[in-house]
Amino acid sequence: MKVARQRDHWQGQFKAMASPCEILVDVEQEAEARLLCEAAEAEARRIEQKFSRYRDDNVVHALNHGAGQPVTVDDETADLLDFAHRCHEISGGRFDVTSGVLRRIWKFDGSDAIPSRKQAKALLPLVGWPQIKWDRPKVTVPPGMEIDLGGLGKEYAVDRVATLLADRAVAPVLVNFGGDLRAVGRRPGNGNWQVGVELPGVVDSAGLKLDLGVGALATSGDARRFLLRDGIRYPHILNPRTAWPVMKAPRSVTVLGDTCTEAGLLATLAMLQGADAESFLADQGVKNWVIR
Amino acid sequence: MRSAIIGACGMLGLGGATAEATEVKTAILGYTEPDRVTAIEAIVDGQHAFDNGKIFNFRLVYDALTGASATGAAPSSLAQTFTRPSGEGSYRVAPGETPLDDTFRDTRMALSAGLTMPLNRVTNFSFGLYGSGEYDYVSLGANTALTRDFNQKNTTVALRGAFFSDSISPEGGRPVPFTAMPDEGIEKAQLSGDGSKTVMDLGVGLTQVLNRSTVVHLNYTYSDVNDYQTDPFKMLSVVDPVTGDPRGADAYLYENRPDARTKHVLFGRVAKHLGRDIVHLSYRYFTDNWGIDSHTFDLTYRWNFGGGKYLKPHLRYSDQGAADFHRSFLVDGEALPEHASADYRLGDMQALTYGLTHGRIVGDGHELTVRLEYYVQSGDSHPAEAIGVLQNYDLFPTVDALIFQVGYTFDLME
Amino acid sequence: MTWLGKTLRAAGLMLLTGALLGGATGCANLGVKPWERDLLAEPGMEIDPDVVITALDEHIYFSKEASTGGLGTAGGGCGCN
Repeated sequence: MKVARQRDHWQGQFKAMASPCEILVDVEQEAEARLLCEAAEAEARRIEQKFSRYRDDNVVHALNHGAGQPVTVDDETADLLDFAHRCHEISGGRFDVTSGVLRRIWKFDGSDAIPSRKQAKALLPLVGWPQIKWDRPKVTVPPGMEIDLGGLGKEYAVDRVATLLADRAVAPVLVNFGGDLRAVGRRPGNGNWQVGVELPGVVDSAGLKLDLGVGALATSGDARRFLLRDGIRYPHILNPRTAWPVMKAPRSVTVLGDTCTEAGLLATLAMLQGADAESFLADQGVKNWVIR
Repeated sequence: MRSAIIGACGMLGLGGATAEATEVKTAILGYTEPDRVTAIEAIVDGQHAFDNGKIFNFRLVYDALTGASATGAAPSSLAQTFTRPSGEGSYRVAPGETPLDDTFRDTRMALSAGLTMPLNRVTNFSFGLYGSGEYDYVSLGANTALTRDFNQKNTTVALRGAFFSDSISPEGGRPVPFTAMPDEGIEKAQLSGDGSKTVMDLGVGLTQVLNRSTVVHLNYTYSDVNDYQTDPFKMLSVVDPVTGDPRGADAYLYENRPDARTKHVLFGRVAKHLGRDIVHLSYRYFTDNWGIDSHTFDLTYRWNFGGGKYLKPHLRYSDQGAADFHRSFLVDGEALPEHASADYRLGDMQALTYGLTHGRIVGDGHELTVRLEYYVQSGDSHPAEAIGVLQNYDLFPTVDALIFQVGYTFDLME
Repeated sequence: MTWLGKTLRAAGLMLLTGALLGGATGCANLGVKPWERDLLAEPGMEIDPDVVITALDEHIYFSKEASTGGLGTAGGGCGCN
């Protein structure tokens, strides 16, 4: 953890969730800034460990290895599952936390390893939130299926950390985890946060210069992750109902919202609209940046 | 779709989705004393937080009251006849009964509004205005407060001040203190003009987080009340020193209270989280230069069931010592004291409240509460100074009341 | 005054003294770190968890007893009986 004084605030930096993480806090004392940044890092690591699908000692592992038996989950996980359920509902099934199994055949490593339609079709029975039996606080995952909360994880962590710091310490803060960010608490006298955001993987992008008071920014899409065969680009965004990439999806969508989770969800849903991403975003009335 | 998404994000409790937020709390309360007062009270309390950190709040209270109220006159072995406050009409009270005037009927409307603004990261300033009106009473006020946080927001100090100017213009006028209640149709001796009084409150408060589960709050308030504080409807019986029955003529004198009252209130509360449930324990010490002092204890236990559901039992006990000038009656032939009131509320009394509140989250995070409380007041029914027949009567009849309230709290979203 | 009153009076004075001492013995040592405010931030942990109930009750007790106030400054008067 590095804590450094900036012109009119303190900046803490660490790495978590495979991203560079930055905390800006508007307090006077270094000791206080350090305490806040350490609390932020601890919370980020807690969420990372709890919801990572690369670990075998957490709740995600437990519910994906329940052998078709109900697993009782804690309140926070239950809230996320309720949220996932609601997102599935309002997106008409486009947003689905069970689509992680498609990674078994889709590895977006820049190669031309496109799976066959038959392979994709074979996996479809293992995708679909409605097949998960969710009866709070018990969840039953049928054998072979998987729940992956990682798609929500980073934005959720940003919001959690931001509210933890701002609501409880009551200092204005900005939390930035690899470009997904949230500012909470208007800064009396000091004006807005000036933040620069690089759009991940967008070559030659000058990035965004933002003048942010309170609000959140999230980006969906990573232009470095795709497959290419016969001149056709297969973007890193999969339709859970076809097990196939959304072929006309933008390279990335960035949305300005109230919370990072909201912005991230809108960005993801816009990506899932493919060619209609821009008109979808226009309908939502949010400030956005679409890169094709 | 965006509002659905914002709603879904709200499920995660990720804090003020928007910095701008409006919360509205409403409640309606029914209050009933068997044989005495019945009241209905409705309240709307709104708070809007702007994204620049300012908070605007307003409150509207309406209440309607009907029923009978003790006049201060003592019971008697004879039937008693009282002139109504208007001077027109009269009512009879049977032997042995506590005299009650059953003509009270009033509605009150109170409106207050205020603005709180951050001066810097740790200091807030607020000011507000208050006004209330009823048939015979108007109160206007202003208040201000300054709060400052210390020690990483673990300590908050507040300074408060308020000023009120009240005026009363009772039906039938304000009787000259210690003059006798006239017979029906005869005008009473009146003070000229409206009765007015001013109230000045100054307070200092301290809120301190002790540890992860405990907060204490201490508050001291000094209050200075000046000018007309007599209740124009209250009277005292002047009784025969032997029989205890009212004297033959001019048996009922209008009461008289001092013009200056200085109050000191010390209040302490502890809020403690027990892991799942939450307990609040409070103590209040009140004393004033009228000689009244009281000790009041309040205990609530919020029994959380999860999912926003709770049951909250409530217990309150208050023990009040009488004002120096409180008299249950005056005795014929003895010199009049400088001040006197037989208002039972200024007497020795113990009051007990027990109640239960149920709260639950309904719809999109709205909260519904239902509350039922029972309040009972008792005092010295047979004071040592009771004379003659008065020894046979209950001079402090128990007053009890049932309180029922339904409350609903919701957020307004853009 | 009843025995219950006396006992409660003594308990109340002890509570208040304890709180005053607690407040006086160096506020700087008391308190929690920002991330330890999880329980304190829960609904129902406010010093005045239900301002509407407080307002309605204060009005009732104002009109039934001679002692008033406590939380904050006393409100405006009324001609309540």
